[in-house]
Amino acid sequence: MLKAIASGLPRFRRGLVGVAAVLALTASAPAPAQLFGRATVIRNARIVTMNGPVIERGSIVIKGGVITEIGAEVKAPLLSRTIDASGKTVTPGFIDAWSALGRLGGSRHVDATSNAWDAFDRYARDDFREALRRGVTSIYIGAASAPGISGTGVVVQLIPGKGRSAGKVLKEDAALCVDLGSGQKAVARMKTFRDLRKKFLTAQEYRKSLEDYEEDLEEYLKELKKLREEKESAEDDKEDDSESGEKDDGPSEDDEPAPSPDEDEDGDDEGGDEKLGRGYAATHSSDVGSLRIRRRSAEGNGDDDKKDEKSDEKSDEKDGEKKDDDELKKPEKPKFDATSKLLLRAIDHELPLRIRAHRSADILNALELADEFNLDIVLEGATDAYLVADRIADADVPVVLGQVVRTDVFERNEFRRHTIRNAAALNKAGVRWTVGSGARDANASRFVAQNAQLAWSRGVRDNTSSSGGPNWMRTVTLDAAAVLGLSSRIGVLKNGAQADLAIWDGVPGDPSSKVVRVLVAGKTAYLAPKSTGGGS
Amino acid sequence: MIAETTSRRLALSTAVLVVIGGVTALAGDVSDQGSGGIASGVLRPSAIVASRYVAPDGSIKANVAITLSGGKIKSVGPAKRLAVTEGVVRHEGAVICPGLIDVRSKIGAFGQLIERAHSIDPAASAVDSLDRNHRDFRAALRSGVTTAVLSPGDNNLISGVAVVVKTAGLEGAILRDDGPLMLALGSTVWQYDRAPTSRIGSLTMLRHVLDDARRGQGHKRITDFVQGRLSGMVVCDEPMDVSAALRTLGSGDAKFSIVHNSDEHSLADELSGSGRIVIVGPYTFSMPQRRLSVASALSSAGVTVAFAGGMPVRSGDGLRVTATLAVLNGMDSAAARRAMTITPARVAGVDDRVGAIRVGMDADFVVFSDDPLRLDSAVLAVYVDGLRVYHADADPIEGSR
Repeated sequence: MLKAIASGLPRFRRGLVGVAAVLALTASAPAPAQLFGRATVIRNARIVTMNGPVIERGSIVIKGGVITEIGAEVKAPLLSRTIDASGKTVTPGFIDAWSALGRLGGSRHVDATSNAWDAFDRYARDDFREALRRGVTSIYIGAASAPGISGTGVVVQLIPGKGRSAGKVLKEDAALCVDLGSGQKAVARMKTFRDLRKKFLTAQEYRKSLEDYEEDLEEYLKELKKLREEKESAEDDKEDDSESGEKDDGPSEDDEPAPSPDEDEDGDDEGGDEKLGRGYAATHSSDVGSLRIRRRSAEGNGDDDKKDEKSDEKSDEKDGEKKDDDELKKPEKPKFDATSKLLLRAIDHELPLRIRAHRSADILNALELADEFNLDIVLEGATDAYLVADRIADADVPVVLGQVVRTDVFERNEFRRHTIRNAAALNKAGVRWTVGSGARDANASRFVAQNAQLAWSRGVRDNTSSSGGPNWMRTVTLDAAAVLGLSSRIGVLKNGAQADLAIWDGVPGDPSSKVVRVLVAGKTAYLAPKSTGGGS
Repeated sequence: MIAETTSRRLALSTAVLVVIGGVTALAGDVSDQGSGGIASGVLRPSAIVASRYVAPDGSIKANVAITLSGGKIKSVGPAKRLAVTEGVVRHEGAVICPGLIDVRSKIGAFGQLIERAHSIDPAASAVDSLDRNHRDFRAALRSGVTTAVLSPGDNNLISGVAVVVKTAGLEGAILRDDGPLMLALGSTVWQYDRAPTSRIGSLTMLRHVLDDARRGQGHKRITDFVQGRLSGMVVCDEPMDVSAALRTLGSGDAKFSIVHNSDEHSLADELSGSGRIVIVGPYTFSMPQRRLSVASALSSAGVTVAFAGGMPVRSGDGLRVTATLAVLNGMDSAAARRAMTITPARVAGVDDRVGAIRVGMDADFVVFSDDPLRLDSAVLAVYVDGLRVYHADADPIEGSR
């Protein structure tokens, strides 16, 4: 009896540690799931973490959708659910960095403010299941592929949702999608690039005009104050002069409430508004208020001096003249420009630009654009990349390749110089690259790992990457996550990373091995049917 | 017929001799880069040793030594018992696979294999459209495809005979210029300006031709076909065309395989007892799962399956992609490996020469870095007739496709 208690003690202590761990977690991240959710422990698995050597026999503790512990020895929390993975291999869930899974609809009537999530079919469950069955857990879907800017792309995780739906946005605004003219003729291509560059110039102008507006506003308020003070002192001087007092009151009421810069954020109430999203320059020139600001900014200090002189004159002149009130006009806020605002986010490195460019000329144009506006870009497609690999390496621009084996290579299209050895050439030049399924159709997404395998079938001898897993797996995990700006959240099995993982009954990468279970954010998203006949 | 083959073989061997010069230039700089275990300069090894090889039954077996003599396989045995020491090439960690065979290729003749004037055109030979110097042959070697079958287009009821050609070298050694007789049923055959113009019309017409041939009338190739001396390949668009082919051709002595690529699983039952080889593919990543699992369904039902590659429209790697997709959808791995080696060799009627690593066969091998069904395994070297015709290390990445 005593013996039993004694032997039970360590277990009790272990329990205490578990409780302590839960408490610690609660303190650091008070997510309700972590508070009340049951932990899941995957045991006895061969774990390809992509974060160091393969763990030949280890466990993973998952709580609140996140990996909380991983290693050969782990302390499982109390009452955790156990998945026995003896003889099985666990890998991170694969990422398709360029997918069309669940994307509905065509490419028309889009602009920079479009968002790929709006066209995502959350009820394409059968397609999701096929992807999950091959180990794919996250996908990037771009906005439509129309020449120019076509909107923002999103990263979606294939997690079961409410009802029969699935999919959850993992990263909104993953990239601003640009297409440098897929399938366009030469003249149209030139125009596409010129228009794109113009939009960035417009965005810069838009920023300048906003800054000028702020400045003008400040100055205006200062002067208004000055004027009023003068008036007040004048009133003090001629207290009995009622006529001027009356005249003063009128205009000052109009201008009085110190306008906060954000007052007319909507921009709708301003007169002469045109449709939003148009090029700023188009509406700009018709805008008298802004015109004044522009002229001022263009002419620089000289204008300022003039103005100062004027205001000096003003202050010299006696008040009460209507002309003066007109001259002291409240600066007009530049019209809100959604496209420019987005582009400014790109310029400020908040939003990478995903540029689809297949031909070498288009790739070089993209690099030039990135250089001119100091943009973070990702090249997409990049059929000809091997021809300009050194230039891409110099610019340190990552590349997302599409279909490694194409079936549509013809003399006259984008892909005429397509080669299966593109990736090998990028490797050799030191370019960061990954492989997506190529966004041609939804079906291809589930074979993104096979596509990556093909990319690694050329030019490499040692097929094990420094991350512990095979090279092709690095491509669809670490490298794909990096290009999507989600490193250390997905594509890797380590503490704090999302519990997106696939459990395989054999060697991943061998076509005869199957996925038996997939977890997305700790939830079982796919479970293989029990009867699995065939195989070799 | 036999005399004809012998003379062709003679011609072939002289052609190979001529090719050697070209191939040496083709292989380029053969300086040893120390990778893949390929000894420098050994263009014509006396033996090849590898960690694994694809056996004739399609399974992967460990440790093999293959001795070669006169472009043929002299012996296949365990590496330990290898007697020769001179000119031995060792491929550590690699898998030796028989040269892959693309049984549905237009390589070197794309767009030139369609004759529209007559729907019964048995005299046509695909060899007449073969451009032996075409660059696509080099691309084929890079992907490990050493033999290709070029057939006349699928737009005639009987469109002539295919040519079976080795892809190595500039000469494009011809294994057979009287390859399978090509037949087609289905919508591609119907033309508005010549008969047949409908499905019912095409079957009526075909039956007349076959009946004539059975009575000894008509072209010799059709007579040979109905009497089983010349094999055929029947292209069937729709599942119902498969039934029609079995009904119309199946009862006699004719030997034929069926080319069919739909997603109709129920055909497995119909085909399982027929003894016909079915050619499926090419498969791509874009195809729905139902279609990709047909190879598995047929194979499980006991039907022998061969894969179509479809070069040059499809890449030379399309053959392996097809096989891998079939396995991913449940096909047996060994059957899938056979389906791109010995089975297409049987379809082409050249299984006495190529398609398996067996004594007496042509020494056509691909050295893969891993199982050819793994898409990340690389083609390290290719041997044809015992001669190394491709070496990945001597192949600059910067080149074109």
